[in-house]
Amino acid sequence: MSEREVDQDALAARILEAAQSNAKCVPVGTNSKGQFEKSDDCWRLSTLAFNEVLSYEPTELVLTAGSGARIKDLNARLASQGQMLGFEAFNGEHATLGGAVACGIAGPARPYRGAIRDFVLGCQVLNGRGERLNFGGQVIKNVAGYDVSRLFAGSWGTLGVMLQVSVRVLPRPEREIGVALECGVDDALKRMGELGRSACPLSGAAFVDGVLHLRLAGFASAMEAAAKRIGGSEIGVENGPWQSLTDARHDFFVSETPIYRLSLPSALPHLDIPGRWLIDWGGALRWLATEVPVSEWLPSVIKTGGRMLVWPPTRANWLRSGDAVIDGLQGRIRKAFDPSGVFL
Amino acid sequence: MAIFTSRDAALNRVFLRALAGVVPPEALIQGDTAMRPFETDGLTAKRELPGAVVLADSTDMVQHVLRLCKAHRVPVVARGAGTGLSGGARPLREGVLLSTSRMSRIIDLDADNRSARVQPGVTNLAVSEAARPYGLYYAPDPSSQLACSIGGNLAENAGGVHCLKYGLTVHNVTGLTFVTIDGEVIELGGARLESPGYDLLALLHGSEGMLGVIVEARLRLLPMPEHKCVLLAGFPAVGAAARAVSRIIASGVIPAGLEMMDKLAIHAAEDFSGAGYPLDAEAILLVELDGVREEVTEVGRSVKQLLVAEGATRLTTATEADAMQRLWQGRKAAFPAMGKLAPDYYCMDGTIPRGQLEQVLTRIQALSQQYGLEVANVFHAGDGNLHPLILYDAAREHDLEKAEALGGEILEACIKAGGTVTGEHGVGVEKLDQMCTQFSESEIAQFHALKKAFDPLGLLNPGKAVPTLARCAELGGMHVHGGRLPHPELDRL
Repeated sequence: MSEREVDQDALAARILEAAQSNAKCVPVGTNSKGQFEKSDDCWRLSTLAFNEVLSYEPTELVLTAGSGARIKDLNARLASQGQMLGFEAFNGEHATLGGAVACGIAGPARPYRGAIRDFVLGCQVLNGRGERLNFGGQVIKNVAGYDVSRLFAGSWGTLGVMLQVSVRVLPRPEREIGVALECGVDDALKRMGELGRSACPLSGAAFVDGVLHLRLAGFASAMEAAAKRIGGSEIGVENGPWQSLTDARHDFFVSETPIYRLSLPSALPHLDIPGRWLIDWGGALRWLATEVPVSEWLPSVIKTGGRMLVWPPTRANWLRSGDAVIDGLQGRIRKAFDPSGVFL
Repeated sequence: MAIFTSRDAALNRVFLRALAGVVPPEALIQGDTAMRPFETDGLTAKRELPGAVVLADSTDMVQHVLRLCKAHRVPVVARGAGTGLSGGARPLREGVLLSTSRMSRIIDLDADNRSARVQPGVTNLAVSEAARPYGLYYAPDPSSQLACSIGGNLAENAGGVHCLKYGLTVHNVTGLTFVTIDGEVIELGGARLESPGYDLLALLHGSEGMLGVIVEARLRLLPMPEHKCVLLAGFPAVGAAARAVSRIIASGVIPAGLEMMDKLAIHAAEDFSGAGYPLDAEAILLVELDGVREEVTEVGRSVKQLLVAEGATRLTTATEADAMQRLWQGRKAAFPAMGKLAPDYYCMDGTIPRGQLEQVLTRIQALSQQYGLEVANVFHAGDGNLHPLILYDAAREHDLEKAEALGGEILEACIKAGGTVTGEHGVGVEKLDQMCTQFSESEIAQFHALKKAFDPLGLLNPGKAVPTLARCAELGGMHVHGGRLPHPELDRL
């Protein structure tokens, strides 16, 4: 038995023990999202022992790694082959692959490259019975069985512990360019919409502190031509807001005022709610810092087809759908994976 | 709790009377002759007449039918356009076949949000056609796109030739509405990108009508690329073409489409369509590139160099719409063209890591000789999705059985190569046995437990997609120790 299997068996035994002693378990990597929620009275199931790259063949565009592998290390490994992960993970400097996939909080490239779950091809998990199960695979097209791997993505560790994950990776763009344009919020939203409908090779579009920031990614010649067409001033991608948006640690987030994360149809005009705004995802993600009570503005957000999440999130408020039928169904799905309720 | 089994009684009069009470006569089809068109989907070798057919024209009707079926413990098979290739919509004699093909309206096309809200019976191609005036299109394009419906596309997580760059159906849908077996309407996602809760939207994709009946979808539309180009390359050996595929991907290019055809397929397609394919080639590659003009030009140059470096002897470049369409025509005609080679063909759908292409193709060739049935290969080389077409003659004794056995061995070879038994056609009734090889006993049990969370009585499309543990045990694909099956709470069918 390999060291990995010994560690996996120990984790499985711990899950069964927790089930017997009515303890709650929580899978933990580097605890890079520990600020969201305290879990001191839970048994922590560490994935850090599973930190190897298990297979990586650049010509397949697929990487399989242990869930405890750091995002930073994986990107370094991929960069050596001119590739990268397709998503920007929250707190990627510290986060692990398992944690990034389990929480599913993606950065500015989300509307252009896809959600974190879009890159998940397969995973190996331990469920609440301590069984080691494999779902999906290492190929891009795969419809055998229910898509359990994508169900685990964004499940916040409530269905089981991920042991390893296979993800689709992308070629690193030859060139990334940042463009900044000073404008008002209405103009910024209009411009984001127009560019989104065009074939412009965007990898980010955000409105921060009165400046519309655009990020373009692709072949050098094409990026330069696109930047010229857009106008504005070119600034290095490193000098743009992108990293601070990915990690939600821009100055905007240093605030005593309550912060809300609004997911909206991207073309929705600016909402007239007093407060500070920060717009990401080409208009599809809008952050609001306001003292105005939720009850006064939330109904209008819901009416547009939007959803609101209090920031920073907790496991419970990220997972609660707000619909009794869906919540009932989610409860039964949870039981299917974790019949004795071991996971927090 | 009893789970429905096919041994239970067929539809009785009490149920049929109640059904006629909730479904108007023009939406209810009964009688063997009238129901004949519904006895099979695209997997025509498998046929069975349903107990009754309902052509639902509203969510309301779907709710009524499902509630009634639950109350009477009658199984329901949902059906879109019936073009599926794995028998997922094959009806049950003792069940209702619930078609959503009459729900065929595009409810709303929101160009600003690049989003289309459609009913499940809308055909795949109709969405792109409606989006075209806005410079937008719907990316997934299964080869049946003229006929197949969006509801079926979601239920099977359909692919197509452009998946490598633009993803499968699951990557291009931002919301859906489905009806549970209890008749409850559940709306998931929307025009926004993030929703709280588990990713049920992803889970419903490819669930083959086992979890609920899809009654609406919200599709993501993409801006049409500024520029396109299609390259055709002929190779003197299959291995060289396969290596060229890996080289292109390794160079950092993701083509919009990357298709391969072997000699038998090239000849059949050329006879049928006159696309101009080189008849002396052992394999051809079709490479479609798209993006901004500068990028397509630059990438096109480097891809051509790679193709030549790997031994391409013939190279054609098309940048005009007509010329590109002509090159694609042969590929698209490949399936109907098989009709000229043999009375029947059986289309397989395994996926393998690209690096294994040459090895698996050699294995398929050997199996073809062993069984004495010709196999043509047409496939999505870019994502390793094989479509071996096994040629046979159903009128000849044992030919169908032979074709099925050969197909089974091809799928086993795909699993051995690190792949999967189905890339885009689904499991249906066709690949149940191979599921036992690909998944362990506890994994299959977990699938059943998940299904139970949606459908505790097992009334939605019973017998499809996931094999029973008993079936796997009989096949010897699973090892049952001392007669002790795990998960004793699950019924064994």
